[in-house]
Amino acid sequence: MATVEDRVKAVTGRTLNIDPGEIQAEHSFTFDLGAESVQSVELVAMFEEEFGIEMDEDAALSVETVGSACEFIARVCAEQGVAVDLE
Amino acid sequence: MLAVLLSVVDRPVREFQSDKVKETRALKLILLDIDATGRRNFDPVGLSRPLFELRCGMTSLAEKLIARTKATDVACFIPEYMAGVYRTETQWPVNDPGALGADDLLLVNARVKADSFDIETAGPGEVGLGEDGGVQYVRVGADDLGRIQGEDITSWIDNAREVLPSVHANLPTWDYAWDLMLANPDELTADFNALGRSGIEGSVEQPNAIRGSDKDVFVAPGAVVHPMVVFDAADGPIYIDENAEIHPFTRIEGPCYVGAGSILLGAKCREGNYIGPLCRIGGELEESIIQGHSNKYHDGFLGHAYVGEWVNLGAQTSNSDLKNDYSTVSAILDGRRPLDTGSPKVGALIGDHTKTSIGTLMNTGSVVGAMALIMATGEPLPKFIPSFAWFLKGVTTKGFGKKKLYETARMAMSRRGKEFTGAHEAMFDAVFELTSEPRDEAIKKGRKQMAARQHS
Amino acid sequence: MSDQTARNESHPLDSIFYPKSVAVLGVTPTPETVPNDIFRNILTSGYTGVLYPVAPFKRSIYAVKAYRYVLDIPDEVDQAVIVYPSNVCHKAVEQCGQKGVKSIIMISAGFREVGPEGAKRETGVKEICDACGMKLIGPNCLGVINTDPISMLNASFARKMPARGRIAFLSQSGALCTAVLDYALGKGIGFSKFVSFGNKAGVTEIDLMRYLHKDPQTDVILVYLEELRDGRGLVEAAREITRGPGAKPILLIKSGRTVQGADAAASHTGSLAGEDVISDAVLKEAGIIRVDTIDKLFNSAIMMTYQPPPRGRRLAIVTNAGGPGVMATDAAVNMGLEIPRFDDETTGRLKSALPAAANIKNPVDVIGDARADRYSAALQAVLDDDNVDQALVILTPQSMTDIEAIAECVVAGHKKTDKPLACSFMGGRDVQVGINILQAARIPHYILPEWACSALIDSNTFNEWKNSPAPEFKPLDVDAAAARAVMDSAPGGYMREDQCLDVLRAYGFPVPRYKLCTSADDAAAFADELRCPVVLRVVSPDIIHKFDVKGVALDLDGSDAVRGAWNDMMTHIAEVMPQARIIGAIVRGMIPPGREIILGAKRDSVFGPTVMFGLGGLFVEVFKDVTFALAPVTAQRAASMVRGVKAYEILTGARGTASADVGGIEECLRRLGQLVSDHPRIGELDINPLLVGSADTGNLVADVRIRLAP
Repeated sequence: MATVEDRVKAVTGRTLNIDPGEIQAEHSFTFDLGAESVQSVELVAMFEEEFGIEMDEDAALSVETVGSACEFIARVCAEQGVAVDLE
Repeated sequence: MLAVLLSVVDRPVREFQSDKVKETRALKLILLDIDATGRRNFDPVGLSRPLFELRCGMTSLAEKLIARTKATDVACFIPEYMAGVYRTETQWPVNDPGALGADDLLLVNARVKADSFDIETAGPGEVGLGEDGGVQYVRVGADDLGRIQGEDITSWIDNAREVLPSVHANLPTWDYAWDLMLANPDELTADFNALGRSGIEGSVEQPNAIRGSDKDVFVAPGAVVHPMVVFDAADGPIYIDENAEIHPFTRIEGPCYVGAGSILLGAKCREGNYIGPLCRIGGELEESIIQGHSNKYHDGFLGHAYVGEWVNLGAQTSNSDLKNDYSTVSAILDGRRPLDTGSPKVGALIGDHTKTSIGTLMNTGSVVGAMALIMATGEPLPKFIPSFAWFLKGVTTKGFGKKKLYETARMAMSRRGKEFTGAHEAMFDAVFELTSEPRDEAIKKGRKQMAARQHS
Repeated sequence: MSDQTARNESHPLDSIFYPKSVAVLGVTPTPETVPNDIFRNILTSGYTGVLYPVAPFKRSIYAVKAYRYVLDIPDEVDQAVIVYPSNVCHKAVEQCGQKGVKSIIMISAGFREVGPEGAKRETGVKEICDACGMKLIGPNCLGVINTDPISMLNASFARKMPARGRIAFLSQSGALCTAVLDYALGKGIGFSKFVSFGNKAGVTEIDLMRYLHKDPQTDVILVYLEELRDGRGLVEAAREITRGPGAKPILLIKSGRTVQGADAAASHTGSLAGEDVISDAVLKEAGIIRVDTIDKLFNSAIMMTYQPPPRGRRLAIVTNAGGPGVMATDAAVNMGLEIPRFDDETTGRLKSALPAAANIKNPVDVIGDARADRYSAALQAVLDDDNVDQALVILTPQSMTDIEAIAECVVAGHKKTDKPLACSFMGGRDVQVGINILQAARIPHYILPEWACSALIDSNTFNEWKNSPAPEFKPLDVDAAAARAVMDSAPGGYMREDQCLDVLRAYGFPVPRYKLCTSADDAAAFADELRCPVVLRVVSPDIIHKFDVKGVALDLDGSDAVRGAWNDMMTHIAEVMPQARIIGAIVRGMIPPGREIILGAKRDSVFGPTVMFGLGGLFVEVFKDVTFALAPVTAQRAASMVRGVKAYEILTGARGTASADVGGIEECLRRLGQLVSDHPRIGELDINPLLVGSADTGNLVADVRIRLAP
């Protein structure tokens, strides 16, 4: 199974139309990857779909970078009993 | 809403002439909206107000019952979650058990049709039941009072059923929001006639045309009718309330009521509309009820619709109100089960604080919840949009969440000098919970659709 | 290009209005979003520089090559317009600093206006800007517009570029900007510069006002302010801008309330009147014309920008309807304009040009059937009259009225005179053709004659102000060192009474003879020396409310009475407040009853030291009849403060009372202003009351309270 980071990058790439290979953990969704505000909502929905979790929208939308999204999602997965590969 | 209620006394509500209703001593009317399940049939417009505040014709259901029973005093029991807000809008006691302590009480389920309420308001204690066995009214004489006990209104009524004799009254009731919309034209005419006001007391700038009889038009003091406005009262009366403003090229067909301070911007008002206070209306409108404080500034057709308060409909927002095979329209109130309305003409039901974008298209029998935000794609909307939905790119999402919607509501209300208070927030928090199931389902479904699109 | 050379080329704010290149950071390709609108506005408004979109992972925006970061742009970037979400703006600003950007217009919201977290973000952004020497407009603003053809910059998300004009508009509210632009468009009003400055984290309204003062494109400065943060700075700037060569009028709408600093705790004088009353008084003192509505703002602005300054307040009115003429006359007189008599020559000319039924006196009524010839003759005659400084033409549409021709003759008349002219063509649709002609010729038109009068009076007020000498502050002879020594010995909080009196004495206030006595014998001896009934007042750093502990004894006649009172007082205090440290007690003569006034001083969080004057008792507490001034107070200002209260006549001997020592009060106000200016530790000072005597007896400080900062 791919790691959380791989899956986050894949979803991000698909949603923003970017090659996942160009996405790095320290990238900000808006500043570095150019996500528009509606795309931020799409990203949240697509992460939920990818991982089968429910995220609080306020908390999720305030996540700034790809790396912190991975941490946030891993935490939510743990809370909601969803198994993921961290490494 | 407060102003409307306060005006009950001097406002010309229909005087019902029934030989069964006599001028009697002081009567206290208790309006009941306590059936948590049944009231959901009035979603989404009943979610954030007592059902008896809903409109039909020129009056609310409460005003009709008050006029019918000639009550001199009024109190009410409503869902607790909306009591905080409603207390700021009414002078009546709300959910106050103390209100049950007076002489000559008449408790009436707010959904009972006032026109058919032919029960003696004074008399020995009696519980009237409907076809479903539910309580439609409770009449309490001074002698009965001490006999009925109860910690809250529900247990009080249960006790009344044990103590007092029951009769099968089987009074007709309003069962769905579309019932009000469908009865609206006839009620408008009846209310206008009961009121007995006609003539031009505001300012009507010429040229202006009235088709039909001048007697069927009333322009209240302070209202301004610009030149080139047509009133067609041939098939029903037209009432323009105080300080309303009718801009040029507006055509109004009767029966129609335009609320205080509302502005019509070149609107094409077909027959049978109730437009509440402080609305801005353009485009085409037919047999619809707009509760108040809502905007439909631009072109676009709205027919057989019931629109709540603080709604904003973007330019070219339209709804269908007739199916292409003329069959009866169905609507989905709970997000799951379609209900046959029994009518070939039902448009949209739109809850409070909902905003639609430019070009929003709604199907026949659409239900759009309260506090929803619609960014249309050009495709017709799904027939059910849950409350608090952010409808983006063709699917329901969590969007930017509830807080952001409250911020917008706060701003919209403050622009009209009103406050979105903590009580409003608490009420809508409760609405959020009440409506969570279908919303969560729609959000899940939306995610799947969005993902499928990405993969294709 | 002469404009360009006239412009002070090296002004640090030039990069806001005249950038050679602009990058928009955070552009999106989605139409009808704020970032997209801004980019398109710059692109389509005729901007003369170079424009770059910064949009990560987008090839282009509107066919203009896009860059991922501002650092990737190969050329120099003068100005960055930032529209990123607030949580990443600091990253954009950092890169701008590295790139050598000179000015930043931060449109993004989500800063100080949303609470402490936003405030922290704002401070962070501001610090980077300061460190890199970048000028910052915003955040939370609509943007900047410059209609100067050498720039033609619309770096805003306003829908339309306004017409070019000579009015500059500065607004804290972005939403108001769009409304104003729309309003101006409808009235054919143009702008030189248009700035929405939002949270003013960097560049403030004061900086912008100073810039516009030197801007050759601007004649009138309009400001909409929600929050006054540096009132003193605003006043100082306004005083420089509104007087002397190149003076420009400042018209200001101030809404909302000021943010009061924590130090501005409820003080007596401060609570007498809201901050807004202070603002009102102080702004007037700075030559700022404060207005309440957008209508009035532009009514006066177009008068000042379209018309020459009036030479005096004398107004001639020409009308074709008696009623409006009379109403205009009433309005004009009430507002302070004069309706002069014409000289004989004018009267003769009017008599020969107008029918017998006409009124040839001011206001001239050319009668309902008047056509252009009558208007023309009447207007010429009154404008030629030396007794007339300005004219108002009123027209009501009658069946004979040739509106267009009359408008043309007003335009012709206007060309031949250097006196200001205003018009009021009353009505709506019918008179519109005339109004259009007037607007095209830049003759101010007002729907109501009263509005015209109000604009004319503002123009007069400004012109008189502009040409009046700036009042000079002349310090009075005081012993500042002695006062400082007293304060240096006092801790923070309320000063002891004896110290307060020492300070006032050092500053030359009329304080009664007093002595801080430390024993009953000492007090009795001083009472004998005074040879009049005396007051005994306990002095203790621990006792604030003297009366509560019976620490005041009144009307003590003779040394025995003083000694007895001393012993009673000290015994009682020892019982009820055994822990109180007693320094002694002040002995001074009883002060005879008389008229009371209040003098106050306060260090305001917005305006710095201010001075207040009011008549005592009801006048202050009920009627809030008080006046304010910034300290220090000039002699002229002191005089206007005293005369500015509505109940002033009570001091001048109304209703049989003796005339008061007004000169003495004025001197006290000047001394008070000097005192609070000299000593920043004084947070609050109340002389309440000052007993007013006649010019012979003089005034006397009856009680004083001073609060010192720690």
